[in-house]
Amino acid sequence: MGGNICIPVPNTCKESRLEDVLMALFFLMDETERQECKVVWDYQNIRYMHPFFTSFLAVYKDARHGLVEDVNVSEELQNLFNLVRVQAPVLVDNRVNFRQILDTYRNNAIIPMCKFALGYERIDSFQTLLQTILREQIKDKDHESEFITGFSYLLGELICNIQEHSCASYGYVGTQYLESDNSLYVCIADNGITIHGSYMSFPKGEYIRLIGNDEAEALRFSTKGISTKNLPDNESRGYGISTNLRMVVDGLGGTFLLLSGNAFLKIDNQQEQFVNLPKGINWDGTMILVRMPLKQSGDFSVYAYIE
Amino acid sequence: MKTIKLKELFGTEVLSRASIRRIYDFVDDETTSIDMSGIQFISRSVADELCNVTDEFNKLILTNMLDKVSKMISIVSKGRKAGHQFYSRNSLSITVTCSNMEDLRKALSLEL
Repeated sequence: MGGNICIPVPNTCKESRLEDVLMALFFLMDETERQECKVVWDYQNIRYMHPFFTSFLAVYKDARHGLVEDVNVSEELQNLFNLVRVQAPVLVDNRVNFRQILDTYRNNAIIPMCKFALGYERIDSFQTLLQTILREQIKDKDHESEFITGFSYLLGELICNIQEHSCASYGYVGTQYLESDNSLYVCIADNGITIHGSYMSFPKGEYIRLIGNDEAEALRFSTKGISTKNLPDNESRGYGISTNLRMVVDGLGGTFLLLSGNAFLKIDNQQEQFVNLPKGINWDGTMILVRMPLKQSGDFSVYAYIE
Repeated sequence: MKTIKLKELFGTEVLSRASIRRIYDFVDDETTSIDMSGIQFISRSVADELCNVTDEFNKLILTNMLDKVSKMISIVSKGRKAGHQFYSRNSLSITVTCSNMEDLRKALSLEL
Protein backbone atom coordinates (compact mmCIF):
# COMPACT_ATOMS: atom_id res chain seq x y z
CA MET A 1 0.00 0.00 0.00
CA GLY A 2 2.99 2.31 0.58
CA GLY A 3 1.92 5.79 1.69
CA ASN A 4 -1.52 5.56 0.16
CA ILE A 5 -4.59 6.47 2.20
CA CYS A 6 -6.66 3.44 3.22
CA ILE A 7 -10.44 3.87 3.32
CA PRO A 8 -12.67 1.14 4.81
CA VAL A 9 -15.51 0.35 2.41
CA PRO A 10 -18.85 0.34 4.28
CA ASN A 11 -20.80 -2.88 4.37
CA THR A 12 -24.00 -3.09 2.33
CA CYS A 13 -25.94 -6.20 1.49
CA LYS A 14 -28.95 -7.02 -0.64
CA GLU A 15 -31.24 -6.43 2.36
CA SER A 16 -29.74 -3.03 3.18
CA ARG A 17 -32.08 -0.07 3.33
CA LEU A 18 -31.62 2.18 0.34
CA GLU A 19 -30.71 5.09 2.62
CA ASP A 20 -27.85 3.04 4.08
CA VAL A 21 -26.60 2.10 0.62
CA LEU A 22 -26.63 5.75 -0.41
CA MET A 23 -24.81 6.86 2.73
CA ALA A 24 -22.18 4.19 2.12
CA LEU A 25 -21.75 5.38 -1.43
CA PHE A 26 -21.51 9.05 -0.44
CA PHE A 27 -19.13 8.27 2.44
CA LEU A 28 -16.79 6.51 0.03
CA MET A 29 -16.95 9.36 -2.46
CA ASP A 30 -16.36 11.96 0.24
CA GLU A 31 -13.38 10.16 1.74
CA THR A 32 -11.88 9.40 -1.67
CA GLU A 33 -12.32 12.89 -3.10
CA ARG A 34 -10.58 14.43 -0.07
CA GLN A 35 -7.34 12.71 -1.00
CA GLU A 36 -4.98 14.07 -3.57
CA CYS A 37 -3.06 10.81 -3.95
CA LYS A 38 -3.92 7.28 -4.88
CA VAL A 39 -6.27 5.66 -2.35
CA VAL A 40 -6.83 2.11 -1.20
CA TRP A 41 -10.33 0.77 -0.60
CA ASP A 42 -10.33 -1.87 2.10
CA TYR A 43 -13.08 -4.48 1.73
CA GLN A 44 -12.34 -6.39 4.93
CA ASN A 45 -15.33 -8.39 6.24
CA ILE A 46 -17.44 -7.65 3.16
CA ARG A 47 -18.95 -10.69 1.48
CA TYR A 48 -21.64 -9.16 -0.67
CA MET A 49 -22.73 -5.78 -1.95
CA HIS A 50 -25.99 -4.13 -2.91
CA PRO A 51 -26.44 -3.83 -6.72
CA PHE A 52 -26.49 -0.03 -6.62
CA PHE A 53 -23.19 -0.06 -4.74
CA THR A 54 -21.39 -2.40 -7.15
CA SER A 55 -22.74 -0.41 -10.12
CA PHE A 56 -21.47 2.80 -8.58
CA LEU A 57 -18.07 1.26 -7.82
CA ALA A 58 -17.68 0.05 -11.40
CA VAL A 59 -18.37 3.46 -12.93
CA TYR A 60 -16.49 5.46 -10.30
CA LYS A 61 -13.36 3.28 -10.39
CA ASP A 62 -13.25 3.39 -14.18
CA ALA A 63 -13.51 7.18 -14.17
CA ARG A 64 -10.68 7.41 -11.63
CA HIS A 65 -8.34 5.58 -14.03
CA GLY A 66 -6.52 3.33 -11.60
CA LEU A 67 -6.26 5.87 -8.77
CA VAL A 68 -8.19 3.50 -6.53
CA GLU A 69 -6.69 0.19 -5.45
CA ASP A 70 -8.67 -2.66 -3.84
CA VAL A 71 -7.43 -4.71 -0.87
CA ASN A 72 -8.84 -7.50 1.27
CA VAL A 73 -11.36 -8.56 -1.35
CA SER A 74 -12.77 -11.92 -0.29
CA GLU A 75 -13.06 -14.69 -2.86
CA GLU A 76 -16.84 -14.41 -2.73
CA LEU A 77 -16.74 -10.68 -3.34
CA GLN A 78 -14.12 -11.01 -6.07
CA ASN A 79 -16.44 -13.43 -7.89
CA LEU A 80 -19.19 -10.83 -7.73
CA PHE A 81 -16.78 -8.12 -8.90
CA ASN A 82 -15.72 -10.31 -11.83
CA LEU A 83 -19.34 -10.90 -12.83
CA VAL A 84 -20.35 -7.25 -12.58
CA ARG A 85 -17.00 -6.21 -14.07
CA VAL A 86 -16.44 -3.78 -11.23
CA GLN A 87 -12.72 -3.58 -11.90
CA ALA A 88 -12.86 -3.52 -15.70
CA PRO A 89 -16.10 -2.73 -17.54
CA VAL A 90 -16.83 -4.52 -20.82
CA LEU A 91 -15.64 -2.20 -23.56
CA VAL A 92 -18.23 -1.83 -26.31
CA ASP A 93 -16.47 -0.91 -29.53
CA ASN A 94 -15.29 -2.40 -32.80
CA ARG A 95 -11.97 -3.59 -31.35
CA VAL A 96 -13.48 -5.94 -28.79
CA ASN A 97 -15.75 -8.93 -29.26
CA PHE A 98 -18.15 -7.74 -26.58
CA ARG A 99 -20.92 -9.91 -27.98
CA GLN A 100 -18.98 -13.01 -27.06
CA ILE A 101 -18.49 -11.70 -23.52
CA LEU A 102 -22.13 -10.70 -23.09
CA ASP A 103 -23.38 -14.00 -24.51
CA THR A 104 -21.94 -15.75 -21.45
CA TYR A 105 -24.43 -13.82 -19.29
CA ARG A 106 -27.58 -15.19 -20.90
CA ASN A 107 -28.23 -17.59 -18.03
CA ASN A 108 -27.17 -15.17 -15.35
CA ALA A 109 -28.97 -12.50 -13.34
CA ILE A 110 -26.49 -9.82 -14.28
CA ILE A 111 -25.59 -7.76 -17.31
CA PRO A 112 -22.06 -6.58 -16.54
CA MET A 113 -21.12 -2.94 -16.53
CA CYS A 114 -20.54 -2.00 -20.17
CA LYS A 115 -18.67 1.08 -21.30
CA PHE A 116 -19.49 2.54 -24.71
CA ALA A 117 -17.93 5.45 -26.58
CA LEU A 118 -20.45 8.15 -27.44
CA GLY A 119 -19.67 8.00 -31.12
CA TYR A 120 -20.06 4.23 -31.34
CA GLU A 121 -22.04 3.78 -34.54
CA ARG A 122 -23.63 0.42 -33.65
CA ILE A 123 -25.18 1.57 -30.40
CA ASP A 124 -28.63 0.37 -31.53
CA SER A 125 -27.49 -3.21 -32.02
CA PHE A 126 -25.73 -3.08 -28.64
CA GLN A 127 -29.00 -2.01 -26.99
CA THR A 128 -30.89 -4.72 -28.83
CA LEU A 129 -28.39 -7.27 -27.55
CA LEU A 130 -28.89 -6.06 -23.96
CA GLN A 131 -32.66 -6.37 -24.34
CA THR A 132 -32.34 -9.87 -25.81
CA ILE A 133 -30.12 -11.00 -22.94
CA LEU A 134 -32.40 -9.47 -20.32
CA ARG A 135 -35.44 -11.09 -21.93
CA GLU A 136 -33.74 -14.49 -21.56
CA GLN A 137 -32.62 -13.76 -18.01
CA ILE A 138 -36.11 -12.97 -16.74
CA LYS A 139 -38.15 -15.31 -18.93
CA ASP A 140 -39.01 -17.58 -15.99
CA LYS A 141 -39.72 -14.77 -13.57
CA ASP A 142 -43.09 -13.33 -12.68
CA HIS A 143 -43.36 -10.67 -15.32
CA GLU A 144 -45.41 -9.32 -18.15
CA SER A 145 -44.04 -8.70 -21.61
CA GLU A 146 -44.59 -4.98 -21.02
CA PHE A 147 -41.67 -5.00 -18.59
CA ILE A 148 -39.16 -5.51 -21.41
CA THR A 149 -40.83 -2.73 -23.39
CA GLY A 150 -40.44 -0.50 -20.34
CA PHE A 151 -36.79 -1.44 -20.04
CA SER A 152 -36.28 -0.76 -23.76
CA TYR A 153 -37.91 2.63 -23.38
CA LEU A 154 -35.75 3.51 -20.35
CA LEU A 155 -32.57 2.37 -22.04
CA GLY A 156 -33.34 4.03 -25.36
CA GLU A 157 -34.28 7.42 -23.95
CA LEU A 158 -31.51 7.65 -21.37
CA ILE A 159 -28.78 6.56 -23.78
CA CYS A 160 -30.20 9.05 -26.27
CA ASN A 161 -29.97 11.74 -23.57
CA ILE A 162 -26.31 10.90 -23.06
CA GLN A 163 -25.67 11.13 -26.79
CA GLU A 164 -27.57 14.37 -27.28
CA HIS A 165 -26.71 16.42 -24.21
CA SER A 166 -23.96 15.09 -21.99
CA CYS A 167 -20.90 16.00 -24.08
CA ALA A 168 -19.45 12.87 -22.48
CA SER A 169 -16.76 10.70 -23.95
CA TYR A 170 -18.22 7.50 -22.49
CA GLY A 171 -21.49 6.07 -21.29
CA TYR A 172 -22.05 3.09 -18.99
CA VAL A 173 -24.88 0.62 -18.61
CA GLY A 174 -25.32 -2.45 -16.43
CA THR A 175 -28.16 -4.37 -14.73
CA GLN A 176 -28.60 -6.79 -11.86
CA TYR A 177 -31.70 -8.77 -10.98
CA LEU A 178 -32.37 -9.45 -7.30
CA GLU A 179 -34.52 -12.44 -6.46
CA SER A 180 -35.14 -11.16 -2.93
CA ASP A 181 -37.32 -8.27 -4.08
CA ASN A 182 -38.01 -9.47 -7.63
CA SER A 183 -36.55 -6.27 -9.03
CA LEU A 184 -34.16 -5.24 -11.76
CA TYR A 185 -31.49 -2.73 -10.72
CA VAL A 186 -30.32 -0.64 -13.65
CA CYS A 187 -27.39 1.76 -13.84
CA ILE A 188 -26.93 4.20 -16.73
CA ALA A 189 -24.17 6.76 -16.41
CA ASP A 190 -21.91 9.12 -18.29
CA ASN A 191 -18.83 11.23 -17.63
CA GLY A 192 -20.25 14.39 -19.20
CA ILE A 193 -21.11 17.96 -18.27
CA THR A 194 -23.90 17.11 -15.76
CA ILE A 195 -27.56 18.14 -16.01
CA HIS A 196 -26.83 21.54 -14.43
CA GLY A 197 -24.01 22.01 -16.94
CA SER A 198 -26.37 21.10 -19.77
CA TYR A 199 -28.86 23.79 -18.69
CA MET A 200 -26.05 26.31 -18.29
CA SER A 201 -24.83 25.62 -21.81
CA PHE A 202 -28.21 26.56 -23.26
CA PRO A 203 -27.39 29.07 -26.02
CA LYS A 204 -29.47 32.04 -24.85
CA GLY A 205 -28.50 31.65 -21.20
CA GLU A 206 -32.15 31.55 -20.08
CA TYR A 207 -31.58 28.91 -17.47
CA ILE A 208 -28.73 30.74 -15.78
CA ARG A 209 -31.28 33.24 -14.45
CA LEU A 210 -33.74 30.54 -13.37
CA ILE A 211 -31.35 28.02 -11.87
CA GLY A 212 -28.14 29.89 -11.07
CA ASN A 213 -25.69 27.68 -9.21
CA ASP A 214 -28.39 25.51 -7.66
CA GLU A 215 -27.65 22.06 -9.04
CA ALA A 216 -30.56 20.44 -7.18
CA GLU A 217 -32.90 22.93 -8.87
CA ALA A 218 -31.51 21.82 -12.23
CA LEU A 219 -32.48 18.26 -11.35
CA ARG A 220 -35.97 19.45 -10.40
CA PHE A 221 -36.28 21.12 -13.82
CA SER A 222 -35.26 17.92 -15.55
CA THR A 223 -37.90 15.88 -13.70
CA LYS A 224 -40.61 18.26 -14.89
CA GLY A 225 -39.71 17.74 -18.50
CA ILE A 226 -38.26 21.21 -18.90
CA SER A 227 -35.94 20.73 -21.77
CA THR A 228 -32.37 21.54 -22.57
CA LYS A 229 -33.17 20.72 -26.13
CA ASN A 230 -34.68 23.96 -27.37
CA LEU A 231 -32.41 24.15 -30.34
CA PRO A 232 -33.69 24.93 -33.84
CA ASP A 233 -33.19 21.40 -35.13
CA ASN A 234 -34.24 19.53 -32.03
CA GLU A 235 -37.54 18.68 -30.45
CA SER A 236 -38.40 21.14 -27.71
CA ARG A 237 -38.90 18.50 -25.07
CA GLY A 238 -36.98 16.90 -22.27
CA TYR A 239 -38.88 13.69 -21.85
CA GLY A 240 -36.02 11.36 -21.22
CA ILE A 241 -35.96 11.81 -17.47
CA SER A 242 -39.48 12.99 -16.66
CA THR A 243 -41.37 10.26 -18.49
CA ASN A 244 -39.01 7.52 -17.38
CA LEU A 245 -39.31 8.40 -13.74
CA ARG A 246 -43.11 8.46 -14.05
CA MET A 247 -43.01 5.02 -15.65
CA VAL A 248 -40.64 3.65 -13.01
CA VAL A 249 -42.23 5.25 -9.93
CA ASP A 250 -45.92 5.57 -10.81
CA GLY A 251 -46.14 2.66 -13.24
CA LEU A 252 -43.93 0.06 -11.65
CA GLY A 253 -43.72 1.24 -8.04
CA GLY A 254 -39.95 1.46 -8.28
CA THR A 255 -37.28 3.95 -7.26
CA PHE A 256 -35.43 6.51 -9.37
CA LEU A 257 -32.10 7.90 -8.19
CA LEU A 258 -29.98 10.40 -10.02
CA LEU A 259 -26.54 11.75 -9.15
CA SER A 260 -25.28 14.59 -11.29
CA GLY A 261 -22.43 16.90 -10.39
CA ASN A 262 -22.91 18.05 -6.80
CA ALA A 263 -26.61 17.17 -6.60
CA PHE A 264 -28.73 14.12 -6.10
CA LEU A 265 -32.38 13.19 -6.38
CA LYS A 266 -34.35 10.29 -5.02
CA ILE A 267 -37.93 9.68 -6.09
CA ASP A 268 -40.23 6.90 -5.02
CA ASN A 269 -43.96 6.70 -4.47
CA GLN A 270 -43.62 8.35 -1.05
CA GLN A 271 -41.70 11.50 -1.87
CA GLU A 272 -39.30 13.24 -4.18
CA GLN A 273 -36.14 14.60 -2.65
CA PHE A 274 -33.65 16.95 -4.29
CA VAL A 275 -30.36 17.31 -2.48
CA ASN A 276 -27.45 19.71 -2.89
CA LEU A 277 -24.66 17.47 -1.63
CA PRO A 278 -21.86 18.58 0.68
CA LYS A 279 -18.94 20.12 -1.17
CA GLY A 280 -16.50 17.41 -2.14
CA ILE A 281 -19.14 14.86 -3.12
CA ASN A 282 -19.23 15.31 -6.83
CA TRP A 283 -19.73 13.06 -9.82
CA ASP A 284 -18.33 14.56 -13.02
CA GLY A 285 -21.26 13.42 -15.11
CA THR A 286 -24.66 11.91 -14.51
CA MET A 287 -25.44 8.55 -12.96
CA ILE A 288 -28.97 7.15 -12.94
CA LEU A 289 -29.81 4.20 -10.72
CA VAL A 290 -33.24 2.65 -11.10
CA ARG A 291 -35.04 -0.14 -9.28
CA MET A 292 -37.72 -1.66 -11.51
CA PRO A 293 -39.98 -4.21 -9.79
CA LEU A 294 -40.89 -7.00 -12.21
CA LYS A 295 -44.26 -7.71 -10.73
CA GLN A 296 -46.70 -5.20 -12.10
CA SER A 297 -50.35 -4.60 -11.79
CA GLY A 298 -52.18 -6.07 -14.76
CA ASP A 299 -52.91 -2.75 -16.40
CA PHE A 300 -49.34 -1.45 -16.61
CA SER A 301 -48.55 -0.14 -20.05
CA VAL A 302 -45.45 1.80 -20.92
CA TYR A 303 -47.44 3.75 -23.51
CA ALA A 304 -49.37 5.46 -20.71
CA TYR A 305 -46.19 7.34 -19.80
CA ILE A 306 -45.00 8.36 -23.24
CA GLU A 307 -45.94 11.74 -24.61
CA MET B 1 -41.67 6.81 -56.74
CA LYS B 2 -39.22 5.45 -54.27
CA THR B 3 -39.63 3.31 -51.17
CA ILE B 4 -37.11 3.06 -48.36
CA LYS B 5 -37.02 -0.18 -46.41
CA LEU B 6 -36.07 0.86 -42.90
CA LYS B 7 -35.06 -2.63 -41.77
CA GLU B 8 -32.43 -2.86 -44.47
CA LEU B 9 -30.84 0.34 -43.22
CA PHE B 10 -31.16 0.06 -39.45
CA GLY B 11 -32.12 -3.51 -38.46
CA THR B 12 -35.20 -4.61 -36.56
CA GLU B 13 -34.98 -2.23 -33.58
CA VAL B 14 -34.26 1.43 -34.17
CA LEU B 15 -33.43 3.14 -30.92
CA SER B 16 -31.10 6.08 -31.25
CA ARG B 17 -31.82 9.47 -32.68
CA ALA B 18 -28.33 9.50 -34.19
CA SER B 19 -29.11 6.35 -36.21
CA ILE B 20 -32.41 7.45 -37.64
CA ARG B 21 -31.04 10.86 -38.65
CA ARG B 22 -29.02 9.02 -41.28
CA ILE B 23 -32.29 8.46 -43.08
CA TYR B 24 -31.90 11.96 -44.54
CA ASP B 25 -29.10 10.49 -46.67
CA PHE B 26 -31.71 8.34 -48.41
CA VAL B 27 -34.92 10.38 -48.46
CA ASP B 28 -35.56 12.88 -51.23
CA ASP B 29 -38.52 14.40 -53.07
CA GLU B 30 -38.93 11.19 -55.08
CA THR B 31 -39.48 9.11 -51.94
CA THR B 32 -43.13 8.24 -51.40
CA SER B 33 -42.98 5.73 -48.55
CA ILE B 34 -40.90 4.29 -45.77
CA ASP B 35 -41.56 0.58 -45.46
CA MET B 36 -41.50 -0.34 -41.76
CA SER B 37 -42.01 -4.09 -42.25
CA GLY B 38 -39.76 -6.13 -39.98
CA ILE B 39 -39.29 -3.28 -37.51
CA GLN B 40 -40.05 -4.70 -34.06
CA PHE B 41 -39.53 -1.63 -31.89
CA ILE B 42 -38.70 2.04 -32.20
CA SER B 43 -37.84 4.34 -29.32
CA ARG B 44 -39.72 7.52 -28.61
CA SER B 45 -36.82 9.58 -29.94
CA VAL B 46 -36.85 7.66 -33.20
CA ALA B 47 -40.62 8.15 -33.49
CA ASP B 48 -40.07 11.88 -33.02
CA GLU B 49 -37.41 11.95 -35.72
CA LEU B 50 -39.68 10.03 -38.10
CA CYS B 51 -42.36 12.67 -37.47
CA ASN B 52 -39.77 15.31 -38.41
CA VAL B 53 -39.11 13.45 -41.66
CA THR B 54 -42.80 13.14 -42.57
CA ASP B 55 -43.32 16.81 -41.68
CA GLU B 56 -40.51 17.83 -43.97
CA PHE B 57 -41.48 15.50 -46.83
CA ASN B 58 -45.23 15.76 -46.49
CA LYS B 59 -46.09 13.32 -49.29
CA LEU B 60 -44.17 10.61 -47.48
CA ILE B 61 -46.11 7.86 -45.71
CA LEU B 62 -45.05 5.14 -43.28
CA THR B 63 -46.29 1.67 -44.23
CA ASN B 64 -46.46 -1.87 -42.83
CA MET B 65 -46.06 -0.94 -39.18
CA LEU B 66 -46.57 -3.37 -36.33
CA ASP B 67 -49.19 -2.25 -33.81
CA LYS B 68 -46.68 -1.23 -31.16
CA VAL B 69 -44.61 0.75 -33.66
CA SER B 70 -47.71 2.46 -34.96
CA LYS B 71 -48.80 3.18 -31.38
CA MET B 72 -45.48 4.84 -30.53
CA ILE B 73 -45.65 7.07 -33.60
CA SER B 74 -49.27 7.95 -32.94
CA ILE B 75 -48.59 8.95 -29.30
CA VAL B 76 -45.56 11.03 -30.21
CA SER B 77 -47.35 12.67 -33.12
CA LYS B 78 -50.28 13.67 -30.89
CA GLY B 79 -47.86 14.92 -28.22
CA ARG B 80 -46.10 17.17 -30.72
CA LYS B 81 -49.40 18.77 -31.68
CA ALA B 82 -50.63 19.12 -28.10
CA GLY B 83 -47.72 21.28 -26.99
CA HIS B 84 -45.42 20.84 -24.07
CA GLN B 85 -46.99 19.63 -20.81
CA PHE B 86 -44.77 20.37 -17.82
CA TYR B 87 -45.22 17.56 -15.43
CA SER B 88 -45.80 17.88 -11.71
CA ARG B 89 -46.15 14.90 -9.39
CA ASN B 90 -48.50 14.90 -6.44
CA SER B 91 -46.12 13.35 -3.94
CA LEU B 92 -44.24 15.32 -1.29
CA SER B 93 -41.35 17.22 -2.75
CA ILE B 94 -38.47 18.68 -0.78
CA THR B 95 -35.15 20.28 -1.57
CA VAL B 96 -32.34 20.04 0.95
CA THR B 97 -28.92 21.65 0.96
CA CYS B 98 -26.39 19.70 2.97
CA SER B 99 -23.16 21.25 4.16
CA ASN B 100 -21.72 18.08 5.72
CA MET B 101 -22.19 14.33 5.95
CA GLU B 102 -24.35 14.59 9.08
CA ASP B 103 -26.78 16.87 7.22
CA LEU B 104 -26.84 14.34 4.41
CA ARG B 105 -27.47 11.42 6.75
CA LYS B 106 -30.39 13.27 8.30
CA ALA B 107 -31.76 14.24 4.89
CA LEU B 108 -31.66 10.68 3.60
CA SER B 109 -33.34 9.39 6.76
CA LEU B 110 -36.22 11.83 6.43
CA GLU B 111 -39.58 10.18 6.56
CA LEU B 112 -42.27 12.73 5.91
